[in-house]
Amino acid sequence: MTLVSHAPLTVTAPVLAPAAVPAPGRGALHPLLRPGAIASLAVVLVVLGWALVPGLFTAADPLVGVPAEKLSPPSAAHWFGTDNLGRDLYARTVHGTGVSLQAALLALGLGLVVGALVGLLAGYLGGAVDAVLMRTTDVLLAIPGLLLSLAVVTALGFGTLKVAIAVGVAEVATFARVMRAEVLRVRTTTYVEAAVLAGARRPAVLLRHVLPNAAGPILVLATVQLGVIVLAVSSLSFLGFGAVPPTPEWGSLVAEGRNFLAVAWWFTTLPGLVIAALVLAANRLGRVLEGRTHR
Amino acid sequence: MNATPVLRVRDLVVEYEVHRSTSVRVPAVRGVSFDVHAGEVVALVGESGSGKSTTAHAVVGLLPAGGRVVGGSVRLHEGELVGLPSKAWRQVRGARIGLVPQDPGIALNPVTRVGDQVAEVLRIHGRVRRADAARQAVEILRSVGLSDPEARARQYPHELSGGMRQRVLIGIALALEPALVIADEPTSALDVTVQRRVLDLLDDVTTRAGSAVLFITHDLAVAADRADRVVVMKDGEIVEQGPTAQVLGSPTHAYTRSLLAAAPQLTVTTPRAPVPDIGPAPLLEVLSVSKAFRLPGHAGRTVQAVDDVSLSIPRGGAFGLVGESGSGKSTVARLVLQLTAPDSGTVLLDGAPVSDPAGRSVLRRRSQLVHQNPFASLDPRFTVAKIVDEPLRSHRVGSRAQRRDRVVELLEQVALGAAYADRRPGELSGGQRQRVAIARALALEPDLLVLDEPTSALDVSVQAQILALLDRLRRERGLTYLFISHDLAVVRQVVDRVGVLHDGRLVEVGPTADVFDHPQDPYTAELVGAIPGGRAELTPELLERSTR
Amino acid sequence: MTGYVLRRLGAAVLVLWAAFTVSFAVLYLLPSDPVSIMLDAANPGGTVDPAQVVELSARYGFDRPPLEQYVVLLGRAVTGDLGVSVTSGAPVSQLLADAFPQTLALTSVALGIALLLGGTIAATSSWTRSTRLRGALLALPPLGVSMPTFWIGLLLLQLFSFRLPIFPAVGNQGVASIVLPAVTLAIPLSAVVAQVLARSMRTAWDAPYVETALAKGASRGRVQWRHVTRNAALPALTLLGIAVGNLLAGAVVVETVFSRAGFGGLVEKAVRAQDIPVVQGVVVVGALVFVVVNLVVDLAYPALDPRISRTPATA
Repeated sequence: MTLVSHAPLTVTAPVLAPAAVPAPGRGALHPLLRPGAIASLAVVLVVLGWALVPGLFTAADPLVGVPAEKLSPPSAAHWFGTDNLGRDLYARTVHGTGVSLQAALLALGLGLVVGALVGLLAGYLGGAVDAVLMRTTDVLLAIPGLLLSLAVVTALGFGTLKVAIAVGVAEVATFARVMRAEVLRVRTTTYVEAAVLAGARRPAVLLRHVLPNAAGPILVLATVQLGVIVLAVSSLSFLGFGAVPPTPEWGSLVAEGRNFLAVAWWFTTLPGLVIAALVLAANRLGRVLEGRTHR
Repeated sequence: MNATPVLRVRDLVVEYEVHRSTSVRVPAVRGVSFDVHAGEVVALVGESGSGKSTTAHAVVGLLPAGGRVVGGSVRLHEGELVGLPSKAWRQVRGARIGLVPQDPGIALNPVTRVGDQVAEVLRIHGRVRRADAARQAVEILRSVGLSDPEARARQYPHELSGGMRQRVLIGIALALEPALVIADEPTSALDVTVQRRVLDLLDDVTTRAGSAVLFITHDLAVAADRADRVVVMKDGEIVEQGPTAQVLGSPTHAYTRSLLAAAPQLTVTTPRAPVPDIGPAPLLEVLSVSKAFRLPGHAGRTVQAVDDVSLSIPRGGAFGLVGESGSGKSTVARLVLQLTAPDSGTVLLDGAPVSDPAGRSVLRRRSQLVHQNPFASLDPRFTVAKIVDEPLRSHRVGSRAQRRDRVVELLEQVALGAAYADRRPGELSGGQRQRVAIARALALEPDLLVLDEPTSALDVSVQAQILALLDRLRRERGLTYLFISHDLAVVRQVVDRVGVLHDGRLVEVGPTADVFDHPQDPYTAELVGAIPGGRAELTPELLERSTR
Repeated sequence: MTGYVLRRLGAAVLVLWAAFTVSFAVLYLLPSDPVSIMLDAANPGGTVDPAQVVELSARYGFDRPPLEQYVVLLGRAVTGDLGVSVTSGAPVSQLLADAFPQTLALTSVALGIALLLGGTIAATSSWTRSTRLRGALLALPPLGVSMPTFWIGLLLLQLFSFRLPIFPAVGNQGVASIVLPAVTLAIPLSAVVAQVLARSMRTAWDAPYVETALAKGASRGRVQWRHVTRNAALPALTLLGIAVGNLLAGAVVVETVFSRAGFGGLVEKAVRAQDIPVVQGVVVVGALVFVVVNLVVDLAYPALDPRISRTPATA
């Protein structure tokens, strides 16, 4: 992580720096080419591979174990070791990726689409519409996200799809607020005023100026929130509200290892490490993108 | 002048790191040498990017992150400052070198009382007790001309005006009577009348304290008024230095000459060739418009931004609306363009009111606005061609090919040319951006251009070019201008008639020359008197100052 | 000033009412059949006795129109009656009151740890001139926010309860039992605190008033302490409400991992049994905590930030 990635959201421009600070030119590494970013990209690509073609990454069966090999530590044969039924944990992690990631992307899609639409309407129409929509998101923000998701799960029942919806609902408010703020920011820029003075009509202003300029920060937010969502989905799965056993899922994999903490460290540690790595990578890429859109 | 100078800078080289991850460094100051003697005011003059501010910060050891002195020497009296350990630096700053920063609005800690901020410098350097420091701080506030200093000391910065804050900062810088005071554009954020009073104070207190002054400014006129000697910088190097009268009176370097020519205040006002066809019929009439704004947070309280303002501009005329910040001049522009509705009064374009729908659509086609800040008025995602095309497209003028030709034609009119069509605003300089904005404004062949401080975000030499462009376009195309500015000297170059706004009221209107030479209203007189460079025209005084 | 307090108080009550309404809408109006869900949860796979359905519907008012249910429930909630647990039959308010002290202790300790840890990381990273130390410190927060809370808890359990038996693995007994859960809960929050504070401190260091202070001869430490910290911490204070809300939600997971009694265990069991009244009670209390913390911050803010105190209405 570099210092640069932390700089963008400053409120006041530093007046200290002389006007002549040279623009980053030749010699400065493209932010996507720095080692951390490359590693993050690699993590994301591998996880995507696991989700799309798990069979390519492991030949072992995630559901059938060899009882004689139960609770064996990581080895060349079983990279992540085996569980209490002798199933290969690496295979279970790889095969659990599809379900876990699907749930996360579904939740992200729900939060992004509904949230962005709400934010766009509120920011662009203003007035009473804005007031009603924003007070509603205020309330959604007042309820801690996980509790709101738990309420939705209570109402809908258990399962991966329902967990995804529950997490997505809790994300709507975040996206709505950022979208609205972006729309308001762009709407009050001088260049939008110039467009209005040039005779541009409202739909044209919205499509040509507001949306393209507001889209960047929303996509950055989506990347960062993907990590938050993966964590939320795996938490609900850990609590046992996700997929039905024996279907592997990241959160429930870790939960299955809880009773063997004293004897099999790998059982909880390695699947959890995969979750952490993906979230870290998504956050890192989000910050790289953030740095680019703020330039 | 053979005594040891207070400040002696020799071959100073300052570099900036381009990026932390690489070792690429670019020089910002390249071998600068100058002296500041006791009791002297030396002005370091240059445009943005000249390295003047970097030089000043190197002298006080406060270069921003990434900046480093890589060569040369800075001596304060006999002591070398380059390479001083940070502990020793702390004994120099505040005690032997004082700094008056650029923008008083943000240079004081917003959550600490003013008195405590003055006392801090005393507490750091002297082993004074808290109560004594507080008492001395009040005396310092009194000495910089603040009324009721006991009360001021207990206030927070946001409760003071910009001028008062700059007085506080001057008090802090001079609290320990340092040998050298660095004033970094100390008044460029202030209104012109306030600027004059603050500069007078700075003159006064530095003389009292016996401090030498290194005065950083982009404004040649201010330098002419205040400095004994002038050092002109460009691209990190000194191009010319010497006594003020000599440098400004008979500049030897071409760059100094171009700066002088561009500085509106110092230009000998040659009567401009009259614009030929100013018709008698008014194009724009503003009939006693008023506008009040609600004060945020004060239920029911309003501020009268524009108060019964009337003016009239004949077709082909140019009217300058002048005022300090908060005078309501920008609100008048917005009222004329119907971006804000007036509380009362009417605006007529060619005799038809612009408030009804028909008049409004005529207004949108026949009038255009050029914004103050060309860095904000262009959509960063658009190409230049798309920006200039936007009004044509919105009003469905011609076919795609015809519009393309028209865009090129417009770019040529503002001296940019077709080569710029596919660039984006981020690739252009401030002056180029403002040319694009002007091309956009001309696209629909409007009659009226409202120019809202069109050059205030630009360097002086660029400002002169834009003003020349505006003057040429007006003559060639018979345009009518409403020119809004805080800068009397700029207005003087472009307009035929001037109106002076003060607290929302038009206090004086008349032909430009009359208003400047024989102001009737006392406020106008103060405004005209405060224009920097006014003293420079009195050559004897200037000579007297520079040979003192 | 009284007007300001009353307005804030009114807004808080409004948010609370709205949270109740949202939870009602989610739990009672979503296309699901609460009665059969409850029956199914109580007796999985069993046959449904129609008489029981009618009886339960009548007891919980599901046979009435939604609006009427809502009005009745709201009316009771105003008097502090949040209904009766479906599984245990105990009053929800009693269950919440029993669980609250445990969770309060856990979250307060976690909040303290998070502020101390996060604040130290942020202040040290913005104060130091060593780019290496700063880089190392600023690499920590992204790690902290990326780890699943339950995973942190399990790692700590492995290390400090099983490998090195320092702390008890489960339960609520004694001071030692709160250490691991509180640290688990604090790590993600401290990372967020560090990120937010480090960012606003960097901004503050770039502010011109810092240059003014340095030009007075102040040391970096003095600038950090006297000028930067206060200016940077004030805006971060407004995030406290969300932070405490997240702690409460995180406690659900952490209390499950450490098998601690408290709010988390209560809600986890309630969701599993689809005990709607208890879940709604927890959601409302979650919103209540958020609202109270925000109210306290709002009311304290003018005393801390002079720019607000003189013009209270602009807050």
